[in-house]
Amino acid sequence: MLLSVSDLRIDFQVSREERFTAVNGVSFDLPERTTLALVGESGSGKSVTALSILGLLPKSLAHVAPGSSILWNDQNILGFDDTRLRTLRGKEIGIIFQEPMSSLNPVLSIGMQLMEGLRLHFGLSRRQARHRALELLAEVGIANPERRLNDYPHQLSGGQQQRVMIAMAISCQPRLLIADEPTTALDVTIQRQILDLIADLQHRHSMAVLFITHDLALVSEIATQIVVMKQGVVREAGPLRQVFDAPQDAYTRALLACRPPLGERPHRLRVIEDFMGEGHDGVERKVRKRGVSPEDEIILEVRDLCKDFMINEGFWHKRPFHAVKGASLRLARGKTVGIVGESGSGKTTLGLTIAGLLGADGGEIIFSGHNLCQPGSVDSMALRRRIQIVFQNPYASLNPRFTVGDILTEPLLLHGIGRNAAARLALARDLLQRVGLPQDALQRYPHEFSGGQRQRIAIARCLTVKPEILICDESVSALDVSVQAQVLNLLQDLQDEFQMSYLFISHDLAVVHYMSDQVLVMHDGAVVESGDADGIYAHPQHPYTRRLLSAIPRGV
Amino acid sequence: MSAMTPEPSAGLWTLAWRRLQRDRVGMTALIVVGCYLLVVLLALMGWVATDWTREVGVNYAPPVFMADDQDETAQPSRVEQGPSGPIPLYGLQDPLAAELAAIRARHPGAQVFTEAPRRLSLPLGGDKWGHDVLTKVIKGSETSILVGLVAAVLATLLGTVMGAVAGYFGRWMDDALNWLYGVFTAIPYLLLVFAIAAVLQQKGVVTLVLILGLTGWTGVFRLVRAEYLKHKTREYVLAAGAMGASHARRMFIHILPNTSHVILVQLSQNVVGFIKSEVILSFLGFGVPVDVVSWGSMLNEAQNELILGKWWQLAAAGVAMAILVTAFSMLTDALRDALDPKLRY
Repeated sequence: MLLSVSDLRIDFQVSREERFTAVNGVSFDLPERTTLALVGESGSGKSVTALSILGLLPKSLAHVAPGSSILWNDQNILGFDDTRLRTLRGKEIGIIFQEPMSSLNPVLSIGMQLMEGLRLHFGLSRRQARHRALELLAEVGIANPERRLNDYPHQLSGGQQQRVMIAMAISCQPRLLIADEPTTALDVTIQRQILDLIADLQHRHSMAVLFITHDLALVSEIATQIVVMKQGVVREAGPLRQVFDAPQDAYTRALLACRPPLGERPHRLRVIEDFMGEGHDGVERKVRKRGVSPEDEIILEVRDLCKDFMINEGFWHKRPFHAVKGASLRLARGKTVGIVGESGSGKTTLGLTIAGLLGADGGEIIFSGHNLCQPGSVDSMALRRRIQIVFQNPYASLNPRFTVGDILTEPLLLHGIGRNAAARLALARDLLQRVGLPQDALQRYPHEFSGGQRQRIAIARCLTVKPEILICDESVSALDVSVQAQVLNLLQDLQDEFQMSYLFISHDLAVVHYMSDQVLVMHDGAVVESGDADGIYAHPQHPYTRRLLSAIPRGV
Repeated sequence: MSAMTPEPSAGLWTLAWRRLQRDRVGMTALIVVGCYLLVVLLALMGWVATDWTREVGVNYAPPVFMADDQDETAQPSRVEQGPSGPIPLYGLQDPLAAELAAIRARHPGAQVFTEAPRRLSLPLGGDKWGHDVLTKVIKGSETSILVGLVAAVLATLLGTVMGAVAGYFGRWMDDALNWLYGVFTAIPYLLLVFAIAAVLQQKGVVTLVLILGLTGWTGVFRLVRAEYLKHKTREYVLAAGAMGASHARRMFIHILPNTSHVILVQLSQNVVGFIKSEVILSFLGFGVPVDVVSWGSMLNEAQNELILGKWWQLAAAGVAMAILVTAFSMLTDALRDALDPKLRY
């Protein structure tokens, strides 16, 4: 057995008195040349487990319980001193992290950073190290390694940065590669390439891989063994097929069911409670109908919308960057248009421009008979109110100095809704209830809520002004899968109840498919394909759409 | 998260106060600063140290703990302390003798002013004219601390408003204010102060406050501008904009509370800085007028006394200032730790 973790328990010192158990009795074995996936949502303790293998946890804060052991070739890592740990890191175990940009030193060229480890561990000369670095870059699929060697991290794309990180991790021929959410920050097509690269390298160097991720669909493509964790405890472990085909634990079953399936469209997504609580057979089998018919009333029409950003070049010169190039769409009442694209495709810019947070540089936005792009021609305040936006990051979109009550009553105050403070508070309370939050939340501050609850607050804030159009800009992307399903269900219910139209922006193709009647595919600022959601997913026409769809991890 | 507690949860300031209370150094510093402020308040109300101009001791009276073991109050005044007996006339006729006799006849009860006996030693010694140094330190701290506080508030206010406008609106407003910032930071500080002093044409506490306030906003401006640049693109500000909040509302109701920790720390740093600046300016003769005492003017006087070996005025003003500045700096550090919103996530 290459690595054997048994009864690992790690406590964190939160404050002087308080301790928090991040990992509680975790055991698993990793044989040579296999890939084991540690799967779990945020707070499950998967990353802490991985870091403890390398002894990378801060000693002053993290206490490893006495009974724990991590055996590396039958030696207990937990007993190693710093010198022994240093030779272990890098040389025997390599690691790659989620954010390649922050893992690389921005002021050293990638060549320098690659050669550092080689010279340290093997005592190579500068020349030999350079030679080896070139080999490594070629091996991880970086074109023109000679030229790239002197580049700095910011000159590389996210995918290339992650390739460099992988090159560094395998440079000393480790026997184990730990990959901590290595593709989470990357676009889906890049993710596919990195996964292929890791699988290829593993095969060639006969490494074992410990793959840490929150994404079950991803796991099925790479792992042979799975360990499912929740709140520091292993819920289920076993070979891939066994866990996927016959999950024993309710939590695993829930995780597998929470993701919107690509093939069908259930009326509601199933959530954790359906499995964890009692009576979980009350699951709806109804299927949601999607699609827009010609009779549907069009409430928003965007024609040839353009948005440029000015980029400073040198002292005097400015160059326009075309973020959105002539986008057009029609949104029907009570329907959803999904906008998909990778980072930099202009989908968020399009959303912000329609929401009126950015000025357009061309084209028209026609909303209830008015062109919103013509300044001054309409009472924009009253019109704007009817288009609201829910942002991606629920931690950033709520003012940390406002109570939830302040957050919900502010828009009412601004638009003169409600006679007095008491009436406005009553309205806010109703909305809180509608989005499924307790009444006493009104006096609390955003930081006391979890990500999913915050996103509910953000949705409630939009509902205060009774919008007709809700723009969801990656609104569920930052949430855990189980929470994601709950928020998506809430959005569905609200749409059914208030007949709102959604502009649903996401990089997550499965979620967009589940939510949308029509889909717009964006690439480099241009709309490359648009049409009926089912049509596009079943028969993509544009080569980019095809590439995008084929990169989705299919799961099972 | 405490889900079921009925009372409203603690806001930022309550949490900050709780954190500050746990910080022993911070609390000590707070108490020291509080004592100083109390003294200032008492002096302002005219309850202590009103008569610092009275010459209560002999010239350069030493502090009590250095005085010789003599019964102080019983000592007669020294020779140079004015006429106490008839002036020897050396055979000359007093030209005013007749008038003096007439005055005496008109006011039979009146006496010639005779000075109270001067003390040989004072609690913290005396200066060249026999002013009590303790009273002077108390009165001086009133001036110095008031100048520091008011000037710091003025500078912070200017810096905050300009920084907010520059950071929030950007474009030409940012350019213009940055240009102004550049001008102010490009000119050597003391020259700038002299220039403003020359323009204002009068010495006084108000002038001093204006000088310090008008030159000291640059640090606050830079930091507040950076904060606004960072916050204006945050989603909660965008969300407020999408809700229809005006620019002023977004700037001062949404963003300002989120930058308050920076501003407060800057404010308290400015207080320390300006107290020191007041001392330097008074030392150079650009500070308070002669009829006002401050730590700076005391140190200014002390430079001549030191040659004579009379060190107590220097020590008294120096120690008073050092304690306050140290306590204030430590309080600033404690405040920064207590207010840092990152600790809350």
